Formats: sequence, C-alpha cells, structure tokens
Amino acid sequence: MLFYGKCSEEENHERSGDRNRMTYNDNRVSKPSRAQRVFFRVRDLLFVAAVLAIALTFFLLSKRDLSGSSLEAHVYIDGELVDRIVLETGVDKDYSYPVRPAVRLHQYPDRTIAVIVSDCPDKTCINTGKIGKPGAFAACVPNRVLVTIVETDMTDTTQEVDVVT
Amino acid sequence: MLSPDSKHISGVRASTTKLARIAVMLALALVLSIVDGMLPPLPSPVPLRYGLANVAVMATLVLLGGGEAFSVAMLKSVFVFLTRGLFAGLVSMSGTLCSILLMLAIEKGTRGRVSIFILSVVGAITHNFGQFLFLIFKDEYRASFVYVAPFLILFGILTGLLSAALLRMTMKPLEALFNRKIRPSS
Repeated sequence: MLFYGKCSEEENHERSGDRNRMTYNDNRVSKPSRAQRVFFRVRDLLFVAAVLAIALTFFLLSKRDLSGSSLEAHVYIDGELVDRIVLETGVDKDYSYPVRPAVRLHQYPDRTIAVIVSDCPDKTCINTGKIGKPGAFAACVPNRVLVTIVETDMTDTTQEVDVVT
Repeated sequence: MLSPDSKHISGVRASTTKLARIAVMLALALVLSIVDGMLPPLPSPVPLRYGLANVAVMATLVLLGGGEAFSVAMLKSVFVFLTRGLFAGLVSMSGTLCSILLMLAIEKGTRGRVSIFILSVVGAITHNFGQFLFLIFKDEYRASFVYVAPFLILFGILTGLLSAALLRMTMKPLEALFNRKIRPSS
C-alpha cells in the first residue's frame, strides 16, 4: 500500500475481483503501473541547484593560491606513513618501497606525483594520474597504498624524511 | 515487505516468488557491477565508479518494495566481501548502507511519488559519501574532505542521471516480467 501513490477505488475494485482470470494486458490498462513512475519534474532542478551550490562552496574553499606554500606527498602503506616526498619543481624521480615492490611512484618536475606501476586489478591508482593539489590523493585499495598531498609551511621544509620501513 | 500483488497468492508461493525475484535482481546487480568495473574510468581526480548496480537496486525498490531492495543491496555487498575480502566488503557496505537507507527514506517519505531522477541522484551521492567517509574514518587516507566533496557531488549527479535513464528504459520490461511470473493463467 505504501508504494502506491494513490490507492484508489479503481484498485480496490480490482482486488475484489478474480485476479486469476486477468491477463497481463487487462492489468496494464486498469492498474496504476509502478513503471509509470515520474522520471523528472521541473522542481527537481531546484534540488540539483541546491546540491551544486554546496559543491561549489566546497570547491571554492579548497581552491587557494599554492605558489607560496610547499607541498609534500605522504605515502601510506597499510595505514602507516612510510615516506614524505617534498614536491619541488624540477625533480624527476622514481620511488618504490620494499614492503610493496609491485607499486612504483614517479615524481614529475611540475610538482606532481603519480602511481605509475601497480599490480592491482582495477588500476584506479594509475588512472588517477598526476596529483599535486593539497588534499588530492591516489589510492590503491587492493595494495593498501595511499599517496596524499599535504601542504606544509615554508618554515617547516627541513627535508626530514623518515622511512619507517 | 511483500508487494500488494503477493497477498493474493498462498504463503508458500508468495515467499518463493519473493525469493526468486530477489535472486533475479541480485544477479542483475552483480552482473551490472562487473560491467561497471570493465568500463573506462571516469575522468575524475577522485576514483569513482558509474554505479550501474544501483539501477538494479532502484528497480527493486520501485517495482518490488523496500525490503526486497534492502536485501538486494546488502547481499551485493556480502558478495563483494566474499570475493574481494573484508576491507573491500566493508567499503562497499558503507556506501551501500548509506545509499539504500536514504533512498528508502525518500521513497517512503514521499509515498513513492519522488521522481526517479531524484531517487537516483540521491542514491549516487550518498553512496559516494558513505564510502569516502568510511575511508576517512578508517584513516586509510588523509585526503581533505573539502577537496573531495565537490567531485563526489558533481559525479554523483552525472552518474545518477545515467542510472536514472537506464532505469527508465528497463523498468517496463522488468515489470512485465514480474507481473507475468506471479500470475500464471491457470
């Protein structure tokens, strides 16, 4: 009953009748079909607009000038921070870690980093591509590897790399 | 919850019909999620999927009922848990749970009058948020929520529109199938 928008006399009448004798075609003419559901209403656009406004707010919050700040790529394997790579312009380098030899990272000269090799079946991490904005990440869930970009203060760039492998 | 039609047939047959319908929709959901995995990735900086399996879940919700839809959605996550392990299962279940609960709430709150488009978009967005919030709480990544949220919403709307369109196309044949199955002319 709940799922019928209108439970009309039409339907009650039908229920009292002999259902077994009805064919499918009779049924489609007399009963409000569930497949006749409204696909789109104009007022749905209001909902979309509201949700997009929320998205835009978050987007503007996340967009800030990054030229003055320094960025680090934090590499997590099995939830442990394994490496912190300082992203500087002009560095072009490969990284791999003994705990996950199947996963390789590459740092690009334009202050970005990407997962370039992984043995996971879905390759989501590789398809993510180059990342370089604070909060951006490339995750390989099957291998439990995560690379995420963190913004650090200019005063804090002491090149400290603690490898916990 | 049984659909109104089922009240007219005997108890055993009603529950067999229900079981068979859930099984059919679950199989459909699983096939769709495999197809989903084979499609090219979405051009998003955040890893997201199309959520085609949601078409099957929504079809169950609209055509059969809330309880059936909940069963299909949760069993799909159980299947992920069996085939891909505990962690993937939990990630899948967190998204599914958020998505199905909210879709059920909307469907019941509007007494089934909400448009398919809204249902689908809400399902897609909450699925995305459910999974990402789980990953953030699990400390699997420290990505900032503010950075991720716009992408989750934007792609939620796009993939929601896609699955709503697919649902609209498949709903009539599916309903015909279900109507025929429970009422043999004997």
